[in-house]
Formats: sequence, C-alpha cells, structure tokens
Amino acid sequence: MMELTLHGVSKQYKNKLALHEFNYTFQNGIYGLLGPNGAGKSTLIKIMVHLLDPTSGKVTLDGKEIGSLKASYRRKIGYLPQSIGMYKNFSGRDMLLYIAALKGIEKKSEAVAQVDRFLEMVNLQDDAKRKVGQYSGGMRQRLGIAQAFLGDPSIIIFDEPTAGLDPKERIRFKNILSEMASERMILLATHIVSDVEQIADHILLLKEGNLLLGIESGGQVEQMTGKVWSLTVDKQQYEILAQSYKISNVANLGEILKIRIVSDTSPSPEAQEEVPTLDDLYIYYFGEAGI
Amino acid sequence: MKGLWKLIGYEWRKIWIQPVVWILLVLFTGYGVYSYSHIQVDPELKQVYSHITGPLTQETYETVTTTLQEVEAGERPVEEETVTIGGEELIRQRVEIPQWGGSYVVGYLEQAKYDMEGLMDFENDRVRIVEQAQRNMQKYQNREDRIYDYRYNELVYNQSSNRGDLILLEKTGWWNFTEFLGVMRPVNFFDLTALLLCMVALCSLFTKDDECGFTPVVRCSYLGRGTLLFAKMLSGFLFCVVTLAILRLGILITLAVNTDLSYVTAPVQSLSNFRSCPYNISILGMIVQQFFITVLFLLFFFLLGALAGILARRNYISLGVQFVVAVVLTALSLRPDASNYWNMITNKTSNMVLPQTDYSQMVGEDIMKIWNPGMVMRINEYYDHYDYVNVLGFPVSRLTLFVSWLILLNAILFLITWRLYTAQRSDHSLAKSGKKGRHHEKSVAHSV
Repeated sequence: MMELTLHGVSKQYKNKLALHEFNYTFQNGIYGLLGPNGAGKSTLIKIMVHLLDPTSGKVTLDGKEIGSLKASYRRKIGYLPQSIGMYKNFSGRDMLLYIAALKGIEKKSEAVAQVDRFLEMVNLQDDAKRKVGQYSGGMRQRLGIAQAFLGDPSIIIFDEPTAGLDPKERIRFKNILSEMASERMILLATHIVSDVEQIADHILLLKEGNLLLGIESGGQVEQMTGKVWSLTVDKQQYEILAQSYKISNVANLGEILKIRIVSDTSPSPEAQEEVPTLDDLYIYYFGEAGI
Repeated sequence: MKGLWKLIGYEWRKIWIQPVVWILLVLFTGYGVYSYSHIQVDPELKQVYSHITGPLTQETYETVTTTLQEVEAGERPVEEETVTIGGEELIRQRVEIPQWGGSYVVGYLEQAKYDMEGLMDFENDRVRIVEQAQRNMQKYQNREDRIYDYRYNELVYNQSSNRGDLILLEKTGWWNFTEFLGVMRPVNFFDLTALLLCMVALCSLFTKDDECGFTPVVRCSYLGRGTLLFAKMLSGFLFCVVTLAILRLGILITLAVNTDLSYVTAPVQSLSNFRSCPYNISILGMIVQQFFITVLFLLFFFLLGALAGILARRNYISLGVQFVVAVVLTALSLRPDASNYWNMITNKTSNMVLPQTDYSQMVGEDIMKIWNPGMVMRINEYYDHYDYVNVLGFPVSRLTLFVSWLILLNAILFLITWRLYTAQRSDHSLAKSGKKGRHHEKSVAHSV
C-alpha cells in the first residue's frame, strides 16, 4: 500500500509560521483536513503536491523524497487548488484535453475517453463545447474537479472543492469521491464539516499550523464523549450562555431556543448529554465563546 | 516525445487564437505588399535594360558605346520627343539601334553605359585586389609577427579569386529589391513589423498561466515544468520563423510579379549596393542568411520577453521590456556614431584591400568599436562593408562575430529562463497571480 509521509514538515514565511512540525502518514482512503481560514491547509497541500518546499522536514512517498522523484511523483498527483483559473477561450472539453496532455496522457483515444467520462461525472457533458469564459462559477469548479481525476492519479488532493457548488452538486461531489476512492488516497481540505462528514475515513484538524488531531471517522464520538450538551433556554438565558460557552447549534422553537453546547463540563443541571458529531468536534477545537 | 509535440500544438494554438495576431499579420503583410506593388517603372528604361541584363558581354558594351559615340558625333540621327514625367515636361532624344530592333532613349543608354562601366571597373579592381593580396601574402609569409596579415590577405585572395562572374542587373525592379534587403535605409522597417508582431503575439506565452490562475495545476502536472518550457520555447521560435517567412514572402512574391528575378542566384556583388560585400554568396543565399539572422534577432527579443514574463508574471511587463529594448536599440542605430560606424572603423570605401599594407593599428581600433549596440539593428549593413577583425590571429568577419554573440546571448537567456521556470516558487508568487488574475483579465493580447 502506498504511503505518503510528512516528516516534521514546517513552513516559515517572513512573519508567520504557517506549518509547524507536521507529522503524518497518508495511505489509501479519504482524508478530511479540517481547519479554519489561515490554519495552514493550503500551505500543507502545496508542500504535498510539491508546489512549495518546506522550510524544514521532508515529504516521502514509499520512503523516497518527493523532491528526488520529480516528474514521476507529479504523475501520481491530481490537484484542485483553492482557486483554479482556466483559459476563457478554450471550451471545457479542450481545456480538459490540454490538461490531459500536461498529465502525459499520450494516446488521443485514451485522453478523449477520460475527458468524456469525467465531464459526464461532473454533469458538464452538455456544456463541454461551450467556452470556459461562459461558464458559471459552479461550472468552472466542476471542471476543476474533473481535471483532478485525469490521468488516474493515485493521490488526489482537493483544496476547498465545494466552493461555488450548490447543495445538489455538493452531494454529487461526495458521491463521486466515494466512487473514486478505491485504491487511491484522497485528501479534502475544507472548513466546511459537511463536505467530509459521512465520506471521510480519517479526519485531521489543523489549527495555526499545528496538527491538533488525527482520528479515524467516527472517532469524534470517543473524543467528544461527555463534552456535548443540549439545553432548552429562552433568549435571555441564551445570550448569557453564549458569552461563556461554545455553541455548535441553535434551533429556534418560537419563544424558546434549543441550543447545543460544546464544553468539558455541563453548562447547567438541566443540560442533557448528546452524541457528538463532527460539527461538535470542529466547534470544540475551533469555536470561540461569545460568538 | 509525443507529449512534447502535443503540448507544442496547444501552445501554438494559444498563440494563434489571439485575434490581434491575425489582425497584425494581415495588416503588416498587406502593407508590405502594398509598399512594393507600386513600382513606377518607365517602360523605356525597362526596354533598354532588357537587352543588357545578364552576363556582361563585349558585344553588348560595344553596341551601347558605339551608338552613344555616333550620337555625340552627329553620325546617327536622333528623334526628339516631349514627355511628361512627374508632372514635368521633358524633351528627350531617341535613337534607332538596328541590332536590338526599335528606338531607345539616349539618356537611358547613357545610364546603361554607366552601369556597365561600373561593373567593368569593379571586375578590373578585383584583378588588382587579387594581385595586391598575392604580393602581401609573399611579403608576410613565414613571418611570425605578421601571421594575421598573412591570413587576412590569403582570405582576400581566395574570396576574390573564387567569386563567380557578376551579372548586370536591370535597375528598376532590382533597385526595389535592394531596398527590400534593407540597404536603402538604416533600419529595416519590415523587420521591425515582424518584431512588433512577435512581441505582441508571444508576450503572454509565459504569463498567461499566472495571470489566469492556472499555474498551480500546470506546475504539479507530469509535463508541466521542463517539457512545457521546451514546448513554449519551440512554439515561440516556430512562430518567429513562420511569421517572418509570411511577411517576407508577401513582399518577395510582389517583387517577383513586378521584377524579373531570374538572376537571384547571381553573386550578390552584382547589386551595385553590395559591391563591397565581403562574402562569396548569391543573392538568394544572402536572402536566406539574412532571414535566419533576423530569426535569431527575433528569438533574442522572445527570450527577453520570456524572462521578463517569468519574473514579473504580467504580459504587459514582458511586452514593455521588449519594447523598451527595441526602442533603445533603434534610437542608438540612428545616432551619428552608428551611421558613421563603417567610416570610423575602417576608413574604407568599397576597396577590399587598401594600398597600405600595415593593418595592425587599425585592427586594434576595430575590436574596440565592435560593441556599438546601435549596429544591432543595422544587420543589413554587414553585407555592404568589407570588414574583418583579428580574433586570436584569424580574420573573422564582423558579421560572424555579431551572429556568434547573438547565438551566445540567446543561449544564456534560454538557460536562465529554463532555470527560473523549472525552479520551485514561493507561495507568494503562486498566490498573487491567481488573485490578480481575476482583476487583470484585459491585458494586452490577453484573449486566450
């Protein structure tokens, strides 16, 4: 089984330590990398796809440094950056064919077959001949998702892949990932918990360049047992509680509110313990009281 | 390899998909054709030269000179006619020449005689040069302190002895042809149009990916670094060759329609403006050689633009840098020290070997003056002046040195560009272009 390992990877910019001593081994499966904006997700990803060199540490694939592997490593990569640009005057199809050429798919028939397959997968087959300049933001994002799969890469990394997608397309994207996940490593970096919920095999939490947590899916239950509470309060009580506790959900029931609190201790004698979700885990590590 | 050619195809497409490329190409080609299609040729002049164009013969020379002598002596009747040329009324004389059939303008016969005698003088001068060079060789043979002088005279001897017979060429159409070859003006305007077209078309080749935010995908793809750079370089080079060929062919075909170009394989010294050309080369050979030198020149600007594009990641900076360099070089080429360049460095006219035999002092001055950057834009003049410099004891033509430097400079620029393009980038450079790309979508020639 393939292993992509980060050994003490750090990245220092002029005034900021973007990544600090990141150690982790990725294997086949879907990984969700959760963290707020500025956590270092994109920096980590760029190091993993060899767009950037770390300030210290190294990244190895099956024991070999990716820097020494050069093009052969890049051949295994599929990557969707946080903000992808395309040529406005190319059609969607031509854009993918160009990327197929960049990825070294030499046989035209093979390139065409892959392009057609992934266009259909992201539901762009009817718009394939239109120029990219005429695409909506969501269509361009779907095209970006499609290009990441070209060349049958064994490592696919998506940085905020659902930006610009409507709910239906998000669900479609998750289904695609589940379908494509066999025998490859897929990493999704996002600050949207629902993107990785139910499909990720592993969850990583990144905060201010530090890996806070790396757990298997479902592990949030074990992590957060005894830390998630629900309480029914009026608006006045809510405002008081919100100042001191992290609130992961608020349901408006008319005059009263049913709130979900993430806390190491019970916020009130009336509070009921709840089964933790991934959202609760996220709020626990990244949320702030008073918001 | 197949992957490289596929990428070249896409880069090629990215160049030609820009509307401005087609607009400029059609505009400049059309202008070139238009400029050379309005040749005002007096049919009477063409008629005279139709009898003398070709290898100079004693019979042809005597026909003309005898006719003129008899006209002057009043022994041959002339007919006067009034013609309007350029809005002015002129009276000219015509004389019958039975050998040629018909009557011919006396003034044009005099012009023909002048041209024939010029060619004959040049041929006589060649004999003198060969003899002079031979004498110099004997003088400097086996002299360790004058090795260069011996080699230089040996070069002159071999070149002058082995050059083919010159052809007397019809003045009107060929006169325009020499203008096309750039002798009539310091900077070849039509090469500048090729330069402008290449600058505009290729300025976004190395900036487009950054400007539209596509770079991250490119740089982490299998062929997205070294191979893609090669593809871009080859596409740019091919574009320079193809567009220059189209621009020049447009003019050449127009000239061929209006001028008898059947002597295009004659020695280039057959053209009066190239009598001083130091190379044994045909007119066609010179056209081909100039073409490739101009391609090297265009390649220099392309590489300059590529380097600027990779560093700045903006096509208007890439274009701006090339434009500034072109303007500076053009301005330098029009300065007095450039237009007087050949006089300053050689004090020669059209003679290949001066009566004086001591070249050592002059050679030292020559080397220092080779670095006039203004001469970069006056490539055609290298074919019109006889000038060699001493390089490690061997006579090397200034043109060879210029071309060698151009090749070396291009190689250096290529290597620097290669290094920068394939090297890892900072996050700042990866991020900033993508962000700015959304706001800078209407740059020059930026419609891909």
